[in-house]
Amino acid sequence: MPKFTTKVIEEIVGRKRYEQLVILPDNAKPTSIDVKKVDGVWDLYEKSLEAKYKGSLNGLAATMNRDAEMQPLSSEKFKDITPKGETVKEYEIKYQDLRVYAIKIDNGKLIVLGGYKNSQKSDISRFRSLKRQYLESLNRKTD
Amino acid sequence: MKRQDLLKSKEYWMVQVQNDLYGAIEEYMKENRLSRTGLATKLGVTKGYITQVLNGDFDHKLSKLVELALAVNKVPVLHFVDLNRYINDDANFKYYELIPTIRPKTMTFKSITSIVREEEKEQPKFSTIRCITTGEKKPVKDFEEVG
Repeated sequence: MPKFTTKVIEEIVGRKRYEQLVILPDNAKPTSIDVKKVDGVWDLYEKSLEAKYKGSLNGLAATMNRDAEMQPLSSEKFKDITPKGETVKEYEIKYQDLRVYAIKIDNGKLIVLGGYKNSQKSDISRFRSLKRQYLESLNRKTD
Repeated sequence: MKRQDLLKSKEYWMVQVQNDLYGAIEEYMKENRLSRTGLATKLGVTKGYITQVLNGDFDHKLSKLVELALAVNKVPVLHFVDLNRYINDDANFKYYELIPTIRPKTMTFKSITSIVREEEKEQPKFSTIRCITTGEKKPVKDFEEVG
């Protein structure tokens, strides 16, 4: 099972926190890692994007920032995609061809995966798998 | 991505204007119990046009932005702020509003102060409030309580 930690997305500033999931190597000890030096899913997503998506990434970050600031936001750009019966809320944030997937955490959101418009179905499937593994890892810590 | 690069981007400001306009129209529809179709009829535009605006995709002429704002009883107050000053203020947790839309009509300094104190419980660094006249956030201590 993968190990996880989280880190704040520093460019998003508001009343609510925006964090990103950090997927650690199998042999890593979360307590011995300087999380600031490790890329999270948002950092890796940004690095993986072609130059033509740079503007769209700014649009995504701006949309996330409005949510963090609790300002009005179109439900088309920031969509609740939580399946019926699911207790932890799921969100899809979109701007042009880019998508990021997040879950609700205490006082904010946790970005779990970045994706694209044309791979939405498989991205959501991967997002839900990561979400489940992350939540299970939290439960293991509290056991 | 650095925050100051985000604040310098065209997309950041497009998202602000598009969603402030969305907020103004959504508020008007709720207050007047209007559907998208009802609003389109009232404004003499197509339902598709309203949908586009409410999806946060407004990118029409400036005159259309002004027309829409006035149609929902709002004025699009626009401030031009020096970019470097804005970035500096942002780093010091001072904020500006583009189109002030969501604000209780009867809000007094007292009620604003009490709201801010609620916010402080969640995150102390945001001990600031928006100044009604300038749109600038100021520390709570700069305002006197009313009543």
